[in-house]
Amino acid sequence: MNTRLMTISVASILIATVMSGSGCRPGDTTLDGHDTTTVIVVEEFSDTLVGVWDTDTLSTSTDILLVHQEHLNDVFFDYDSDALSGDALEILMEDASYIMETGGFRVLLEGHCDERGTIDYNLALGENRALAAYNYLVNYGVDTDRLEYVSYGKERPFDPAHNEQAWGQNRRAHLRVLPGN
Amino acid sequence: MRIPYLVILPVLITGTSSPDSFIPMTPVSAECIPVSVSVEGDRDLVDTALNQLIEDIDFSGLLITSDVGYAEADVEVTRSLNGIELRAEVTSGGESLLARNYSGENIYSLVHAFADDLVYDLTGEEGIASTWIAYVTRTSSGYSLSVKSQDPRSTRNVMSDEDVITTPAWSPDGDKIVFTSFKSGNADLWCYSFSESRAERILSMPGLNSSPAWSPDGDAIALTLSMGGNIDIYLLDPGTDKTTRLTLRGSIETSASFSPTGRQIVFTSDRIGYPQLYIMDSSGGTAIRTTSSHGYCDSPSWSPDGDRIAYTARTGRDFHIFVMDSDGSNIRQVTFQGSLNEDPVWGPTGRHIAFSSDMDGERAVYVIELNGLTIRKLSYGGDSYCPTWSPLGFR
Repeated sequence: MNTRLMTISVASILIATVMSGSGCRPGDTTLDGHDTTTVIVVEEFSDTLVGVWDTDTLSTSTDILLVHQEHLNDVFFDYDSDALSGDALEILMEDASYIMETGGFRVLLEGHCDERGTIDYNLALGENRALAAYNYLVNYGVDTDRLEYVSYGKERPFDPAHNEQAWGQNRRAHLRVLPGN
Repeated sequence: MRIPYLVILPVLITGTSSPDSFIPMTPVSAECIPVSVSVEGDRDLVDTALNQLIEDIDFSGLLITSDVGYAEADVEVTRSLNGIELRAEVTSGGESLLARNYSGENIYSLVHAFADDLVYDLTGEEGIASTWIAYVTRTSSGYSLSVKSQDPRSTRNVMSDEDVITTPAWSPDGDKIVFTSFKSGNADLWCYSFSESRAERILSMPGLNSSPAWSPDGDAIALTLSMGGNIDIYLLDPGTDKTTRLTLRGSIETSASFSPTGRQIVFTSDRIGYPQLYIMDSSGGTAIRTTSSHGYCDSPSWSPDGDRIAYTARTGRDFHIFVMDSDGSNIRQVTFQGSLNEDPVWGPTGRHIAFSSDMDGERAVYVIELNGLTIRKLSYGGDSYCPTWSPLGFR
């Protein structure tokens, strides 16, 4: 019986805070051996768990937008960095020129990261990458009405492989053409 | 005479702990109460019930199955007109400790209910077998938020979309999961309600509305917003939709987690140039740095008993789960396999941690029980990550 007390007290020492308001438990059976039977009904999830989205967003894309898309090039970043390299600046300069010379579309700058590192921090890093590209374009002269930016962190990689090549592909600011002016 | 080719290996002379080696978490190894188990009844139910009961008991960290135990659990499982019935009787030395009948539709749920009651009756502590874990899965067709019970039943989809779903957080009352969705093109915060089977967009500030964390009373959600060009932590009142800014810095502030009293928040900041963990009052204000042994920390999660924080840190080129005391001391490494272990979340009794890991190749959600350090794989199929744990009493 001493072992019993010891194991229970050892277990008790480790007891985490018991959350109140959890599933009710009939108090009719206790360790002193009081013996009763009760029926506990265990309920299941309803079959319809799947949720409906409350708003609907439709996106359209037309051929002309695909043409614009082909003219815009992405810029790539070093690991853990949101700094624009010399190559990146040249690419963005060409992108900026094209955007300013060609109307009829808008651009969404997506910031992406490779899979290394954590989800939370990479969402933020992606944001900084997108913002770096956005700021460059704006400073160059692109109308802010035509630009947006978003971070995908590491959530939507371009290349899902787990190697250096894929990682390099994923650390980028991607320019996505959107309809509108 | 040939001159031997000398290769001199530089030897790093380090102090008592080199920066990249940490004390492994050791099993608590508290003595578990041994329980012997027998299951009888309908042939198509008995094996399932027995296996699941053994699993639940052995994963509790408090009890352990044994041929001869302190207590003996005798279970009978039968099909009835209404569904399934599980009759359980627990005795010790001939003396009856508890006798209870459970009825329902699913044998796994019944076993979980009994296992949790068994843990409670023998130790006074809540069991977690009936709790569920939600997580995100990515496949070639898109993203889904799904919920999984702690048994072989397949995961159940809650929300699906082509575009990114991420950073879910289960509410303390169990009815809601808030998460970030890129469905609109912006990283908006949505709230799924189990009772309504519906997700509603609750915050759509320009930029990120991500990494939500519920306050323990469910009245506030801390989250990361990037509007205005600064990535900072804000507090959202879901009732009024009002946001209050908690951090005001040019650096990245993200990944908040409340202490169980609700009075403090641990979060990630790279204000010194690389991401570290900081603690501030949940009303904002001065933040105290709590980590100094890693070059990169993120995703902190405060334990339900308040005395520990689990987090992810980079060691060498890999990412692993660590646990430290909430004052930053006593750092212990929890995972050693794989190269990307992240998103730790505590079970509601502080005895388990769920996390994602690529230890088996594809990213999956695992649960570790901290008394014996047993690791159990929870998700199967698809790239799965971002676990969030239901509260107790959720079924």
